[in-house]
Amino acid sequence: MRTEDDLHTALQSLERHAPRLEAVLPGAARTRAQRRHPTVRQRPWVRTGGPILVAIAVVAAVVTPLAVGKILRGDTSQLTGPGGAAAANPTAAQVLNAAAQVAAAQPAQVPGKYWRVSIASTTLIPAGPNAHPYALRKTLSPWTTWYPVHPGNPNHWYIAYSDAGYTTTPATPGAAAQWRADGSPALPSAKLPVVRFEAFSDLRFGPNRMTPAQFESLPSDPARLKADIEHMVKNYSDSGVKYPHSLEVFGVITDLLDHEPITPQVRAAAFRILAGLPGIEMMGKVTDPVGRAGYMIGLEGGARKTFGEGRMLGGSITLVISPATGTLLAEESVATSQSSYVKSPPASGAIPGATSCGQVIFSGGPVVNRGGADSRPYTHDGRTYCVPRGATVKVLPSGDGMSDFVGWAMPHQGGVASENPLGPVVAVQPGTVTGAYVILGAGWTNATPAPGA
Amino acid sequence: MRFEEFAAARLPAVLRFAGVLTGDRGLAEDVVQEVLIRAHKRWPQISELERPELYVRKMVVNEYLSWRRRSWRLIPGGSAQDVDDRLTPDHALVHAERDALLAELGKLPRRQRAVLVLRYYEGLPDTVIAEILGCAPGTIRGYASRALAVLRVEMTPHPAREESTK
Repeated sequence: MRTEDDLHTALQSLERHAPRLEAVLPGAARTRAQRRHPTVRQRPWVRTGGPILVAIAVVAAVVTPLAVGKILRGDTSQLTGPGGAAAANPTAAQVLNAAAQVAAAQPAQVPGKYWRVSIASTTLIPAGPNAHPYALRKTLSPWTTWYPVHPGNPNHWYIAYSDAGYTTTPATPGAAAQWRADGSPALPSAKLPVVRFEAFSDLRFGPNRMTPAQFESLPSDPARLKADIEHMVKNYSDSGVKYPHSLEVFGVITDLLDHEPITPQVRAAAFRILAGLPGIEMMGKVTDPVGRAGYMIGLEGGARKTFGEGRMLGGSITLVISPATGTLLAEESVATSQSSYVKSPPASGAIPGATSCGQVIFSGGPVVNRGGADSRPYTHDGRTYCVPRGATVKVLPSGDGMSDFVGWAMPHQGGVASENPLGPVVAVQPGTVTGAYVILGAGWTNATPAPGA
Repeated sequence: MRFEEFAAARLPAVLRFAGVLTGDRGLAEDVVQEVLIRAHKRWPQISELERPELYVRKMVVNEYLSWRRRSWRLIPGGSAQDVDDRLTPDHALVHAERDALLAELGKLPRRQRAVLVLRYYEGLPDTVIAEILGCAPGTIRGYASRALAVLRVEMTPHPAREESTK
């Protein structure tokens, strides 16, 4: 019989399979000077050049609280039922087919020098006094990303610009009431210089990274596109959700729709495939985080993706689709009630906010362990952090207008670790949108990459 | 924490973790690169989390478990023998038993393997593993006991783990 120690030792021996840094970060080969200073910035995507004081043109300034899970009656002129009449409460398939019809009729753009995409995203952050915390929706300034049409190599870096700033607003009507009760304190926001990032291309069709030009060859016939996707996802059954096959197809199509350089006709085919997926369901008429009207569509059983999870819960990925424009407006993660932590809270009950180190909190989702049991409080600039005992605290000025970076180093260990300062933790109701990835615009351009262009 | 700071401080540990999780350098490279791309794009959100590193590990696990690798990495050759293996021919007897264990580990379903790596390499409690894998702690215990039975590993009583999974 083997012991657990044998297993631990054997696993440790697998460290030899760890990739070399250079393999995952081309250009990250360290110089001798950098080797002596492990925290020296050496990533290929660190900001280059001086700050550029130009704001991105497209700013998601207005954030609308979202109504989720309800069907609100409204403009359904784009939607037709089986008999050709407008459907008041359209099904997911009706919305998707209507979007497909609109997209199919749009002219395909001639590829230019760059495929340019502008994305904003939102997430929730806790705020307010520890006794009565509430959630703010934080909307990040848009990223504008430029993908060269012929990079020569699918791993060619793209160029992106963002000012890394953000705005906040109470996340729900209930949060707004609490915020007013709290004396309507100034809502956090930041406006920062635009920075330029470079990174690998992330354009792909399923598992295949492709250049913008290669997307031109995708079939616009739904049956052929579906066959290609089916081929990719066959034999997969490990997701543990109700419709694992649908989930995989949903995932590939979501990736394809959210910023890939596809023609309107391929987009139409993608909508038609979604319309025929088992388990696809209508979640209601909504507005996306920048106020555009659309329909929220998800997958029964939860389409979980690695997005938006963390302190404020994970959730199901849903798509906000506009039948009027024939486009995907946003991906949103919606808090579900499926978390085991929600169903069976521990005997100690939910703790609304953390005020000391080493507390374990059940925030309606993931267990939040503030600092760990063997940590001590450390206060800097009015905020309290949990620092492991025996560690040396390192305060690094942030240099970008945000709060300082408070980290620590353990003796005999390289690198610096950190945690966020202590603060309230908020449980969110199932159905709350916990994060969104908003497609503000996508298209071909012959312009030269520049901030605000 | 800014992304560069995270990468500088934590990337080596994440790389080691990916190497152990996958047992295949090529696959580990793909997994980490993919995760870094996505983590970088969504860093403002990730850095808001309690423990960005835990989240990045979660991304690594999810990427490893995702179907994408199945089709993507079914490329023959490359992973069976690494240069490093050939450089360490000593301790042959100890290694024979260890290699037998690793070979059996390599045949486990990915989820079971991930549970063992998170528990016995990362030393994480089952509650945290459950969070990473998106299931209940009881499910984690089920995966672990099945995997340990297959590997013929005897579990020693572990009061801390029992405590943490209540």
